Amino acid sequence: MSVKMWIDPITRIEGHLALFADVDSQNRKVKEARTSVMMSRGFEVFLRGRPPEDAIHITSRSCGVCGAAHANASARACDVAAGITPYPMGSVLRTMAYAMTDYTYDHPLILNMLEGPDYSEAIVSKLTPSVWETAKTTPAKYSDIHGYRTVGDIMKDLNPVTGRLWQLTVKHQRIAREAGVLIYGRHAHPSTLIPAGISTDITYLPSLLQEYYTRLSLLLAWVKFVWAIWQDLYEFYRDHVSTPEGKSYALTQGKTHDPPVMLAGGWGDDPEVYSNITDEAKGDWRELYAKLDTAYNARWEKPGLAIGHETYSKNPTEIQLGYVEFPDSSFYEDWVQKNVQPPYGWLKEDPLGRPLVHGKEDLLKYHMWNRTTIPKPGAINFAEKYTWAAEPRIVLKDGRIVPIETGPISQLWLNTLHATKLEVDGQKIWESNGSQLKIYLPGGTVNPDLPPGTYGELVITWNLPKYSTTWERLLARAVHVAMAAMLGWAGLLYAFKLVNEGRVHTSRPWGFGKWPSFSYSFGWWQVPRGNCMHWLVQQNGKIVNYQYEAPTTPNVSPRNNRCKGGWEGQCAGPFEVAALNNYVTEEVPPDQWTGLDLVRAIRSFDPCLACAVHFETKGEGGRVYNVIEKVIWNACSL
Amino acid sequence: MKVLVVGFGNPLYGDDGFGSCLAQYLMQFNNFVYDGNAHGVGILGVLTDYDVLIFIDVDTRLPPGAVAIERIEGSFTMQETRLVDAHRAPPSLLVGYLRAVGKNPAARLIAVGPATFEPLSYPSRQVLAATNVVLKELANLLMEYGVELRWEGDPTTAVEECYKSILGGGNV
Repeated sequence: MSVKMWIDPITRIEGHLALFADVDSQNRKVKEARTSVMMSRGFEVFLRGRPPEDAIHITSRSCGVCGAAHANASARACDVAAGITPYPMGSVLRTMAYAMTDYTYDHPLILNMLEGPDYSEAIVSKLTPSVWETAKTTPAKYSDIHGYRTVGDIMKDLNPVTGRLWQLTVKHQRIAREAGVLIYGRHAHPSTLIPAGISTDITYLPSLLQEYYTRLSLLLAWVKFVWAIWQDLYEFYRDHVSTPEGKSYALTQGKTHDPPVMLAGGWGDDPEVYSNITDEAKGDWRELYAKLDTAYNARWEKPGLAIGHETYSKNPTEIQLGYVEFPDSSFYEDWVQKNVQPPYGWLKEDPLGRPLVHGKEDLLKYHMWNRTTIPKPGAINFAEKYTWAAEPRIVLKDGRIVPIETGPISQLWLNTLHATKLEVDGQKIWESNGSQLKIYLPGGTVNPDLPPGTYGELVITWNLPKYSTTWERLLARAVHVAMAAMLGWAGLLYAFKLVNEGRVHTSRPWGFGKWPSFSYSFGWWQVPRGNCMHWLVQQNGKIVNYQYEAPTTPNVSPRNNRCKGGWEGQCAGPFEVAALNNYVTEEVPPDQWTGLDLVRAIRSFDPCLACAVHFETKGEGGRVYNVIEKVIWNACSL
Repeated sequence: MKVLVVGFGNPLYGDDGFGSCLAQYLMQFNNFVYDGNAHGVGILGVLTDYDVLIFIDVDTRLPPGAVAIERIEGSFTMQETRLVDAHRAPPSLLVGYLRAVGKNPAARLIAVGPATFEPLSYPSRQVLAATNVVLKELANLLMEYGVELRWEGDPTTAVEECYKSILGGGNV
């Protein structure tokens, strides 16, 4: 017998997402899963004709969570299209702010307040009572850091609103945002990001850095605490909880593609390298574009595309050559079939003369520089179109066409495969060797709200997993919050160094209208829930085409039939694949199943679907009105 | 003639959820009934293929417990849209948007006057007492389009049970 679930909306995510699933009630296996984004995206439609620098602030308004994410990706696209990048202090401030307003604020909130309730006593004891009984007697391995005696104790404090973890998260997300706002001016939409720099008032820079340090010190203890909790929960679900077929819950439930396709943009521009490429390019935006891979690879977290444990490419300019988006299953017109060209005609090459989509004539019109957004609302039809999310795929050089996964797990994945290290001013921040990543957190981080176990030095080790599962994604987020806070720390150390050297200029001279006659570029910036990607084409200081992928867009992609080379049977975004690769573990009769395992899988990505145009139409007192035909006075009720 | 009945409202806000709970009850017996809950513009995609839409919702212009049959008229264009909260979309807005994108369903609303929107409260006695009147009027409207409305048991009790399941028990 089938149990059909229609979960709409999925709560504790940002934006509107519906999930349909068909589950076999006998063996508890999910047979079919589809997700649908219920709202239109489409900022691209009204960006055309505006000055490129406006895009930084307009795209930021796509979302109240990803605001700084879009602003940063857009700022990088503008940097390149303008042909100028910030001075080192400008890049350092950009990184320090982002480490706080988005990552250190957001990751713990996502873990403890949005995903955490799924693993709280309230949910676990109700829907999986046997797991709860085991948790109550399973000792916590990292209690010397977080102070909890058993896994059950952690679950109790994950209870929403009343739980201590929930309450501590409310407090610390505020501290992180305060630290970021010192530089950004505001959150969630930074007011200080501009092409080639940042407009933060640094009249009292030492004071600003001190204020930042005060908060960062508390937060470095906080990220140790958060990591220890989730490392314990991960190991509990890995070693003590099984699926109906007897496999480890953490290692199998919510698995995505096989092999996984991991995309990361990296973030945290190297202050010197990103500044130097402007001097080396001598004002030529194409020369600057030619040095982008060097700049991206010098980032403090690393870019690239990996198929399983094999690195396809570390170079964003190379990866983006094959980046396409299809409208087969989504509510958009096919601009290629309709022959709707961008205003400058079909682009066939990147700024370096390399053919887009490796010269494949039938596909290059689907490249992001060639896309035109044409919304086409319709009814949900799983056989045809069923979502507002489009279908990003990457066409590889050898002709394979692959779906895409992105998120903290993909960022750690690429960091690890780079087999490299980051040291700033003589202090080791992190290092990797191809299969393992270590993050080095400093001691002396006293936080009166947290146990003394969070005050000392700590080395966090992350082992590259074979697959992306629900729990691998949760663990990656918990590890990555430490990484992000350490990039804030690295930025602070670098800022001190620049102050000591008297190099405090932030922005290269730039003014309104200072744009090449024609230029095009892209900006990628890894954010808490994926890679935020913007593609910009400008002409004489006006946007002629602007396309962007919200961080969640690749993950929420619907199915289509475009994949080739091994992904034909799994040609959907990670949400749908992860929901499909699940067994229902709820210990209640099928008619009472809530879909817990499925929403756990979805929430582990931290979906953010609000990067959408929020529209509504005039009705009250306007042109649509209700005419009362008759009123029935119900005597019994009056 | 394709007909869809849509119940609207958020049962977390007292009488506001009446339409949603009634739809949940009627969906057991009629495949042309849909629970719109508080999805707002999110359900536009569901509404596009029908010739006739009949909504069940509250109307604050009515005194508590009164039931009205309303006709949704008029239209506007895409250029007349503005940015507002997407969660709060009364039937008139949804119908207006459908007409803006070229659909033109006949649209009716069976409205009940609410007494309370208090968060986490049960529906008022006035609105509960109107349940049978709403069903009778709905059945009559559907008959105009040759559609028979079916139900079993006591609908008022079913609405109460719907609220109990959402609010976690207690006295109605």
